[in-house]
Amino acid sequence: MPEPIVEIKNLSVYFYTYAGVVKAIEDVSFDIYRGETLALVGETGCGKSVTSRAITKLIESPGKIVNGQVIYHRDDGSTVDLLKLSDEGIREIRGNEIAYIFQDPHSSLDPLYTVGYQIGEAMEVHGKVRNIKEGIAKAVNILREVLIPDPENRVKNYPHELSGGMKQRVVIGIGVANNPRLLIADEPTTALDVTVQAQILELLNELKRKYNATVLLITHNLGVVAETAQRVVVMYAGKVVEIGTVDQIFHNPLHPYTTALLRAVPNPLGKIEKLESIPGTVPNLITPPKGCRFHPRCPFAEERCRKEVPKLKEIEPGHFVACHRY
Amino acid sequence: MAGLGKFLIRRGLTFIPTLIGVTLIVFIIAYVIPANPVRAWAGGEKASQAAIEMIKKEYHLDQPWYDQYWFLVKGLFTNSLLDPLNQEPVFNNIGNRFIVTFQLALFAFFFVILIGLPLGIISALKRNSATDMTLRIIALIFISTPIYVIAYLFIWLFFIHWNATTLAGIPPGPPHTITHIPVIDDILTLDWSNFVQQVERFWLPGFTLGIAAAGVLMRFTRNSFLEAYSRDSTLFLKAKGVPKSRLYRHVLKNALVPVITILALQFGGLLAGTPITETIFNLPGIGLYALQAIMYLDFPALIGVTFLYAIVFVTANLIADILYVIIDPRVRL
Amino acid sequence: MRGKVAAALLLVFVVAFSVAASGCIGGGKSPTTTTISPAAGKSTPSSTTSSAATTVQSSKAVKYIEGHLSKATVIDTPKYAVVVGPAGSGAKVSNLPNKPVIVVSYKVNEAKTPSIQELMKNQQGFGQINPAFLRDPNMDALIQLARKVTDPNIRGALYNALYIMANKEVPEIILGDNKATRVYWNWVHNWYYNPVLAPRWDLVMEDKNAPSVSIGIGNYKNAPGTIVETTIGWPSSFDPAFDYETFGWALYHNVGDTLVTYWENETKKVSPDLAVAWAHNKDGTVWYFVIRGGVKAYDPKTGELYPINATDVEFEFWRVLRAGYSVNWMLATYTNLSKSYAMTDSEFEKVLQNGGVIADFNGKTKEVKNLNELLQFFGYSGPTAGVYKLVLPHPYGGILSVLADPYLMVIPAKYMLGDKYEEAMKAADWGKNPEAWNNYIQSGSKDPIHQMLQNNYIGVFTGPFYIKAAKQNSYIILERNPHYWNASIWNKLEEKNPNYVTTKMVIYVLSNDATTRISLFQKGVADIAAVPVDRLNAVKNLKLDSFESRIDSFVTPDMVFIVLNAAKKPFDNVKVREALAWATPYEQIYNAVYKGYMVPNYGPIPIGWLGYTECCVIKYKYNIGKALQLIKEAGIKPSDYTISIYYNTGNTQREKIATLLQNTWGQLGFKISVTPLSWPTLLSKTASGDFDVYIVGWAPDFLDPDDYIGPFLQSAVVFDSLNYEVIKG
Repeated sequence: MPEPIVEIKNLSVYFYTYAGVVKAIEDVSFDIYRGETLALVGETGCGKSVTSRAITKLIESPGKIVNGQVIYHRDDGSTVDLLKLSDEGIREIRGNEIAYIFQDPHSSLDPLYTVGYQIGEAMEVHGKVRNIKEGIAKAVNILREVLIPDPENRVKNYPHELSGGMKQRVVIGIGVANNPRLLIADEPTTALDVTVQAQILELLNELKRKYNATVLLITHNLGVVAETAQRVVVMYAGKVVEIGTVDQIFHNPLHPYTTALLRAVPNPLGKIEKLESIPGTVPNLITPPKGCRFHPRCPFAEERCRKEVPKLKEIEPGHFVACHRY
Repeated sequence: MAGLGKFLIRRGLTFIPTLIGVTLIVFIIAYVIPANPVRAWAGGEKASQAAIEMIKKEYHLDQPWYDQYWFLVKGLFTNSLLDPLNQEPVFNNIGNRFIVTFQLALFAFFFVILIGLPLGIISALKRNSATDMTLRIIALIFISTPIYVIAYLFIWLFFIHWNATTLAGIPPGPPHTITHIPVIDDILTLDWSNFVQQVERFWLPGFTLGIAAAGVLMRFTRNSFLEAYSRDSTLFLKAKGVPKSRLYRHVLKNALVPVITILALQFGGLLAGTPITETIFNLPGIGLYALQAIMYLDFPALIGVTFLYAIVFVTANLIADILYVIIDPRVRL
Repeated sequence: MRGKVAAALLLVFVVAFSVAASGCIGGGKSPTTTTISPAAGKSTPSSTTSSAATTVQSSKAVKYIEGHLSKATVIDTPKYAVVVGPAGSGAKVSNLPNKPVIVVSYKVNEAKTPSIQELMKNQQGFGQINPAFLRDPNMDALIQLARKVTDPNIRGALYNALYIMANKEVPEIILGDNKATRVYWNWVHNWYYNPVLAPRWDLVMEDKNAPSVSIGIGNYKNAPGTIVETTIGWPSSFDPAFDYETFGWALYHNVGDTLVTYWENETKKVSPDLAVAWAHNKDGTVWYFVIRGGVKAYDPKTGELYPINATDVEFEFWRVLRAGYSVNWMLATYTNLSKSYAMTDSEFEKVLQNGGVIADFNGKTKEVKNLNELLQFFGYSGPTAGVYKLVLPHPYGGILSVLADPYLMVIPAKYMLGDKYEEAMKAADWGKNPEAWNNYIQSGSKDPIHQMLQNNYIGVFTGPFYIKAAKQNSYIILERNPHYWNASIWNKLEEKNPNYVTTKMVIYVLSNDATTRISLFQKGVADIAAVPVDRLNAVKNLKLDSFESRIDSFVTPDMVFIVLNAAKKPFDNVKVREALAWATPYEQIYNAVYKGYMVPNYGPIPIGWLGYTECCVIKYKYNIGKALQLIKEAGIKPSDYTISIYYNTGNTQREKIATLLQNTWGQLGFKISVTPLSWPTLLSKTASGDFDVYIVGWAPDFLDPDDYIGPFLQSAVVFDSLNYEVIKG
């Protein structure tokens, strides 16, 4: 029986802007099981990044976590609601037990410090080494692990002296430096060339296996999902619409949005007459549609959809969907 | 820093043509003005014709323009060119007055950094709070009030009312001169009584000058800090679990990169002299000298001053560029 | 002066004739174009023979005039009637006042006299010709004559005449004489005023109980015995041969000695300084100055003392002339240094024995036959150090005044020549052949002596103070000269004034900003401050301890003129010039621009000086009606003319004056514009006659009316002959 490492319950994050209150995610709930690679998919603006950051309270003003719990199960069996931790408490967890890899490696690294320093720093601030010098020494090993050639010299390089792919490896290196339990990778390959993408994903997998970690992979690329993930959570307009295994989602998509999403990915082996797209646009989250947020674009929309918010229902074991058709 | 040597050589090669170009242009502009300055040099309305002829010949004013230019340049650098208005060698005049301006610039700069940097950072940290608002309003007031209003106000307050400064003359420097800048020499030779005198004299004009520039620096620092703080790399640092103090170190270093180059340029600007402050506070500096040179079409002084300014600005820019390279590894020479 | 005998005969004849004849000539109110008549209305009570009474035509004079002049212009002055015109015959005059007549006749050398165009091309405005470019040979004749005449009465009359002529011709409108203000704390005592010389600070005293205030320069304090003055300016050179401005001269007056000087507020006669006695030959072309013995110049850097003798005087005068800077015009014009030289006492005794040497002092005149007699005449009994023989190309009534100017202070030749001293003196035969010195002194600022004096501003001088320290445009510190030859006066002063101390140190604090100077004064850092007239309220009624601030004011000879370009239309018409003089708002300008610190004057001689008179002049006042009338009489159409008034940029006072003129002159129908020009541009344009109107100020070089009349009225006329005759009876 897979045990959860993180349980997200009824998480809501609002952004209080001059234009109005943006309800970025509303009542989001799902579990992340220990040891798996869970993919969080959806189009741009659906709230996947916000969700992932909210896990460790990494939300900046004008955003605010207005509701919810994030139950983290430690290795020793104890649990803690991350959202209720103090600033110092959550700091100890960040970069340590729960680490992040962000999308754009060019802007993640500080241009004024060497990569060795930045890796060493990750270890030093969590007391894993006594000082930066030791950290930089250890960083050489990390660089080797992320398959960067000539790590003894590379450790003295500044970020701008590395290619995009190498920078992302460094970021990954920072992420795994403290042997994290959960690695949250927010679109780690979107900013990279296609050829490099595969390498990075492979590296991630390898490290996950090596460190026996869990990975939360955020992406909008269904191909990547099929390759690397075990389970999938589909989000739309700030809400979870479907959860399931890769097999379930790909072969038996339940939610109209999921279906449309799969259809929108062209099959390179077949002949394509025309690209399918989902009619309509993503809704304005200041005034989201009442009821089911997908109803303005759903071909199966009924009266009920316009009024009532659908709740997640388990249709088959492990396969949940939030739609009034079920 | 690879290639620092090559960089300096490259800069050095453009330095000389820049100097010549600038001074030549200024000279030709002054030359083309259809007024004969010699009468003013020779005593104004009481100038005698014989004296006018004599001075004209002495300063090569009857020669073609290239001859005059060369005469002025040569005289300046061999220190044989006399300023017709006070019979002193131009080089000496400029040297003496530049020392005063340099010292004033040092004091002003001290206040600019002392006030501008910390207040800018505080303002950024407490962004949009009452403290931030107050600081920004005060900065705006000091930037937009004309400097002579501030100066007179301060003189009334600190000199007349509180006796906290002196206004007369320039205190002589310490007996042992190394750099010829009195405050620096005082520190180097540990002459504290002279140091106190210099401070008494220069702190108020430095403060007056510095305050407006500090206001500008404050706003700039604030913006730079906020900009650096809002970057993705800062979020990543937080995600790494870096504590606040270490976080601010990162942000500050990033924020200071443009600030330092601004500072270098500001200092260069201060060295160009500030005629109004110099007049009000009785400091015979370069600003006043340049103004007088223009008023009386004092060619020798004009050439000397222009050379000085060209050197100052080229040097200030050079230092700014070098600083940039030192601080930001992304910048190549 | 030919024809003295003839004059005497004529006198007898005229007396006899006038006794026989009888007749009255009415008071000079007939408006003949050749006669300058007194203004209708006010006439001063000082005129001895009022022309309103019936006058007896002095037919002797009339006959003389008819026989010697082809045209006659008559100017009535208080003591004389001055008649001037080109030599010839046939001039008829009808209203000669009943007083002695000075008849001046001349012959112009047309070929040698430059034309107005030439003078403009050569930028001679304020040079060879007056700034208004007005040509009047009559005026030139009187000016050149007055320089040569030594009799003070004749000179006075000639200057009276010139004053009156200028008043009528109005080449320059006289705005008035400035009143100076002095701002000081009343612990300063005996601060006398002299119109030409700055105060000698060693004669000014301070109250013993005056407060002591720290200045901020080194350890100097402003305590009793130290005078601190805060003012504007900087000497344009520390070499007196190269300085022609007031601050430098004020400095030299305190550190140096001249042959003669004006003592405290004396203006009528000079007192001995480096010269203990002087005398001259009968026609005033050779002067002898006996040099004081025991005077030593002090070098504060080395402590060395240089004794001064007549050769030093000669060398320094030669050097000033040779330097070629503008200030040497007085030596170049009034003296002949090539013929002047230093003599020993015995050589001088020989000259005296030959007779013909006259001394004037304290109102008495005496022919002196030996040195002792001369010294006794001057009341001097100490040692002497040679005699300086000064030769003049023509006698000049103002020569003693010129010699009192501070730039002629004496510096020891040994100091200036250094190790070349012996060589130079031998070459010049110890002064008998001064031309040889030209090998040791260069013209211009490249001269090594000039550069040495300039660089060693501490200098080697003979005066009551020496320069202790100076920082350009910041401060100058003078300290009492321990070897001053006249130090005894200080003790005497302190004995007479037991509550006061004499001055041992003088500190000039320079500042270009009036507010700062006022601040320094308010704190007592400065005893004296230069405060512009519109800021005087800030220094009124201040108190420090038991002392108060004071503001004194008095009339100075500094004058302000409005120059009209008389060579250009419409100013070439004298009625237009007169009209503009009536249209000038004098009182308004006095109040608005000078805050009341100016008084009216109607001619180009300062109030109270020789030649100044209040009789017989038109007393211009603001009267638009009269002005309009004159414009009508002039027959011009004002709207045809655009007049530009120039002033120098930054001079707010002149800007205000120009604006006020624009207002009132505009009412006459002219189009007036006010234009600021940069100083060098203004000088250039005005020197070459390229202007309409501009405003200029004038301060005296020395105490003689020629210093004003010459520059403001002369027009470079060259004469073949110039004669005068005084006809009495």
